Amino acid sequence: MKKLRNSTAFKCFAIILFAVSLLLCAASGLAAIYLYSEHAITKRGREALKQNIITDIAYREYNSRAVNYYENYLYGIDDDKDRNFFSEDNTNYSFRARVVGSEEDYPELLSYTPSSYQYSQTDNYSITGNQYNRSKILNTPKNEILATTAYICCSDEDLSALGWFDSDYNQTDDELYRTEYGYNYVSTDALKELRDKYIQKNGYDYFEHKYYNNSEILTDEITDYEDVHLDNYCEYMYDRDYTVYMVTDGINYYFIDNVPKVDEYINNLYFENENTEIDYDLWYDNDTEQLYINTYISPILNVELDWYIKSDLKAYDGFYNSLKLRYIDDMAKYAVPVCVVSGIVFLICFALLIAAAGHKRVKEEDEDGNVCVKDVVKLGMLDKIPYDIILLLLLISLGFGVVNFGNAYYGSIESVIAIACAVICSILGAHVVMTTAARLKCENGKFLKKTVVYKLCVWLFKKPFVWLFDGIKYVWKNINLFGKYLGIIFIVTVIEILVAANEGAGMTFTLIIIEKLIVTGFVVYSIININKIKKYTKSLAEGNTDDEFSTENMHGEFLSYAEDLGHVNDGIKAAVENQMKSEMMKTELITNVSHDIKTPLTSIINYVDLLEKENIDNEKAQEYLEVLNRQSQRLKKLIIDLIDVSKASTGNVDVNLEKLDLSIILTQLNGEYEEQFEAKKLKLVINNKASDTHIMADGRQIYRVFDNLFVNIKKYAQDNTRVYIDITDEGDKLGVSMKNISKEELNISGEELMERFTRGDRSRNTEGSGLGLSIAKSLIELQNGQINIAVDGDLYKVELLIPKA
Amino acid sequence: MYNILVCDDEKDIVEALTIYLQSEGYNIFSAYNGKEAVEMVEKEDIQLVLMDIMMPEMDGIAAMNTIRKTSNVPVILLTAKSEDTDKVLGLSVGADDYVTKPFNPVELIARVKAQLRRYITLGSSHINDKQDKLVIRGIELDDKAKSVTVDGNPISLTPTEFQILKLFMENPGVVYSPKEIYREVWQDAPLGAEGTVAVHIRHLREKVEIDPSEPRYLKVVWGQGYKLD
Repeated sequence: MKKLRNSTAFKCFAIILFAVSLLLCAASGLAAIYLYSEHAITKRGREALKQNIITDIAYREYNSRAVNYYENYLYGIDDDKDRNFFSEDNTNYSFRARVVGSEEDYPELLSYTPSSYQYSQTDNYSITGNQYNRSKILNTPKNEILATTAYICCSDEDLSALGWFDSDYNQTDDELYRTEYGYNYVSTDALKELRDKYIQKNGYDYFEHKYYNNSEILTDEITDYEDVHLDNYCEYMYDRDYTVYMVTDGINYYFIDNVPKVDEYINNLYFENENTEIDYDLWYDNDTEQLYINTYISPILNVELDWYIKSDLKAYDGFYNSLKLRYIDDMAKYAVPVCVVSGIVFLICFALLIAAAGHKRVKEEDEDGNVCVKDVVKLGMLDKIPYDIILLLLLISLGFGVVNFGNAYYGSIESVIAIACAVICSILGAHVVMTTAARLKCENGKFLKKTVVYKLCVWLFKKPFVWLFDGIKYVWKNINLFGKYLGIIFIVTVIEILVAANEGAGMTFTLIIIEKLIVTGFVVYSIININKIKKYTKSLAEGNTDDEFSTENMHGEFLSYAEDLGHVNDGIKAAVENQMKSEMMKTELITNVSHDIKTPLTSIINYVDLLEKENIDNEKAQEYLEVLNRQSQRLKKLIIDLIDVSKASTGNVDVNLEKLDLSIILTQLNGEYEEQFEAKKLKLVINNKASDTHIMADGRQIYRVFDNLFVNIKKYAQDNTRVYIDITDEGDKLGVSMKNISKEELNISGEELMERFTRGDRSRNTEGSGLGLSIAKSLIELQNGQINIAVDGDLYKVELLIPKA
Repeated sequence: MYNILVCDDEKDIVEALTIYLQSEGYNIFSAYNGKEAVEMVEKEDIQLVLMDIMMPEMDGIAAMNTIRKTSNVPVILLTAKSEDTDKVLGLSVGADDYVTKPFNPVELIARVKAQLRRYITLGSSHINDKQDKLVIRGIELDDKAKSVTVDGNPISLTPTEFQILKLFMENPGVVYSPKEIYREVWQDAPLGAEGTVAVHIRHLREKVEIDPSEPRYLKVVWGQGYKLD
C-alpha cells in the first residue's frame, strides 16, 4: 500500500482518473440536468408521442402565425420559427400534415381534415384514403437524420414512377417509420412532368419534393437554390409586424434589423397583387457578403418546401424536438448512472490523491552504507508554485471554460475551448487537491504565508503600516493627557458632525447613545482606578507601607501613576527601614555600652560603700567618699535613663493598651509622692473637670510618664508653692495639665526642654539625667498621646493628651 | 553556717560580695565562670548560688541549667542585663531571684537571706497547717496575734496597715481600687478620702518589701489599684 502510495506512476494514474472522472461526472451531470429539464419542457410532446397520435397538424389560411401558435400549443415549445408552409392557388386551400404515428392513427388524423378540402374527388386517389399513405417520415440513422415530408398528390403509379415509394419501410409499434433509403434523386424533369401532369389534369396544385443530402440541394429547379451551399443558407425569422431578419451562415446568427429595402420590396409586391401570396427567403452569401432574397409568388409557385436536417437546424423545430425526445430518453438512461459511477470514481481518486499527496520514496544511505528506501513526506517541485497562483490558474481556466461553454454549440470553436478548459480545470483541480494536501501535511497551514498575495500584502502594507503605527505610538507617548483628551474629543466631534450632517437624526441618536455608553464605561473605569489609587494613597499617608497595591486591570496613565505611587511607597519603605535599622542599632549600641558600663560601676558603688563602712578618721576623706557615692549613684541613674530613652524613642517598648482610670493613677502617684512633696512643702491640687476619667493606656508606661513628670516637679518646683493638676475633657482625649512654679529662672523654651539631655540651664549640675521629659514624650506618644510643655515666665506647664477609653 | 557560691568573671565584684556576705556570717565559695560554678556545686555543700549571666566559658543561664539537673539549690542571678525579657528568661529557666547591677548591697543581702530562709527553714514542701495564719509565700499574718512576719522577720504595722494587708492576703491576686480598699478597711464611703489609701499602701510596702520600688508582694496596678500575690 505504501509502495503504491509513493509511486509516481500511481499518482499519475490517479490524477488522470481523477480528471477523467471529474469531467465525466460534470458532463454527465450537466447532461442529466439538461436532459431532465428538457424532458420536463417537452413533456407534452412526449405524451403525444407516446400516444402515437398526430403531433403536427397545420392548417393555414395565409396566416403562418396561427399555425405556429397551434404548433407551439401542440409541442409546448416556444417556437416562432417560420415554417416553409405550402402556399395555395388562387382559389383553393391546401394543407400540409406531418404525421408521426402509426397507420392506425390515420383515421384520427383524417378527422382533422378541414371540411373545406375541396380536392377530395380526384381521379387517381382519394384524399381520405391514400393521400396519407404517401406521407412518410423518412428517418435515416440518427447521425445523418434526414427527415422529410412529402406531400404528393398523385397516383401511386406516378409515385412509383418517381421511385419514391419503392422502398420497404419497417414498422414497429413504438418506433418511427424507417426507410432504408430516403433520398431518391428525383430529377427535376420528372417532377416537372408530374406537376404538369396534375396541373393540367386537375387544375390543382402540385407538390414538389426537395431532397437534401447533408448539405446539397439536390433538386429544385424553381427556386434559385442550386448554388447555395447549405452552410450559407439563411434562415430567417419572419414576422410581418417586426422587420427583424435573422440570417445564419450555419454558425452564427446575424440579426439584420434594418433592411428597409427588403420590406419595401416585399410590400410592393404584396400590394400589387392582393391575391398573391408572397413568400420569400433570405440568405446571406458569405462569398459575396450579400443578403439575398428569394420571393415566391404563389400563383406561379405552388411549391411547398418542407425539409428538416437535424444537424443544421437549431433545436426549435417542433418536429425536431419530437425526435429529440427519444434521444433525451436514451441519453437520460445513461447520464445518471454514468454520473454516479464517475462521481464515485472521482471521490475515490480524490481520497487517494489526498492520502498520497506529498509522500515520496527517497533513497538514503544509512550509517552502514546500506541503501534503503524511506517514505518521506515532503513538497515536490510543483508544490513550490505559490498556492494562489495555482488557484488563479484554476479560476481563470474555469471562468474561461464557463464563458465559452455558454456560447458553445456543436463543432464551434467555443466548444473546443470549453472542452480544453474543462480538461485543464480537471487536471489543475487534481493538482490543487494534491498540493493542498501536501502543503497541509508539510507546512501545517503556513503555506498561506508563502502565497504571492500574502507576500505582496506584507510587502505593500508592512512598511507603511509600521511607519504609521510607530508614528501614532510616538505621538501618543509624547503628548500629555490633556493633548490626548483634546485629540480624541476632536476626532469624535468630527465624526459626530459628519454623521449628523449626513445621516440624520436616527443615526446621530444611535451614535450618541453609543458614545454615552463608551464614555460611561471609561468614566466608571476611571472612577474605579481613581478610588483604588485614592485608597492606596490614603493608606500610604497613614504609614501602611506594607499594603500591597494591585495594578491589575489598570492601563495607561492610571497604571503609570499607580506604579509611580508604588515606587514612592518602596522609597518610603526603604527609607523607613533604613531609619529603623539605624535607630535599632543605636539603641542596641547604647544598651550594650550601658551594660558594659554597669559592671565597673557596680564595683565602684560597692567599694565606695565598703570604704564608707571602714572607720576612716579623716573628715576630708569622708567628704570625698560622700561625693564618690553620690556621683556613682547618679551615674547609675544616668545609664538606666539612657537605656530607657533610647528604647522609648525607637518604640522598642512593649505597650499593652488597656482601660485605666486616670484619677486612680493620680491618687496612686499622690500616695507615692506625698511625703516627698511635703518635704518641699509643695501642695498638690487636683481638679477633675472631666466626667469620665477612663483612658486607654499601658499602666506601667503611663506610670513612668507621670513618674518622670512628678520627679521633675519635685526637683524643680519652688518650695512652698502649689502644684495644679487639671483633668479636662478634650473630645476623644483627656487633657491633663500640670502647672508649677519653677525654682530657677527658665531661659529655655518648652520644645528645647523636651529634647534629650536638656534641662533648665542652671540646674545642669543637679541630680538627674535630663532625660526624663524625653522619655515621657516618647512613652506618651507610644500610647497615642501627646505632651506639650509651655513656659510662661516662671510658670512651668505640662499638658498631656491621653486617648479616652 | 551556710555556704554561698559567688560566681562572677569580675574579681572585684566577687570580692566585694564576699566582704558583704562574710560580714553577715556566711561561708563564701567563689568561682569565675559557669564551669567552675557547676563543679563547685557538685563538689561542695552549697546552700545558695549568686551568679552573673554574662561569663566566659559557660554563661550563667547554661550553668544554672546544669545545676538544676542535680540540685535544687536557690540561685540568684546577678546581672547587668536589666531588660524585662532578660528577667523573664532567667526566672523561667530556674532562677529564684534576679538582681540587676549595679545592686544595692543591703537589698542583695536581704534577698539572699530570704532565699536561704525559704530553702532551709521553711522548705519548699512546707505546708501551712496553722489555720489562723494567712500565709503568702514569705509573708505570714497571724490575725489573732495581730502579728506579721516577712521571711521570718517580724515587722510592725499600724492597725490600718494591718487591715489593708489582711484584706490583700485574704484575697490574693485581687486588684482593689483605692476606693474599694477604703470602703473595706475604713468601713466608710470614700468621698475623696481614698488618697490616704495610697499613702498607707506605700508605707506598708516599704515595710513588707525588700525593694519597695520593685515589690515582690504588694504590687501597684497603675490606673486600677493594688494587689498582692
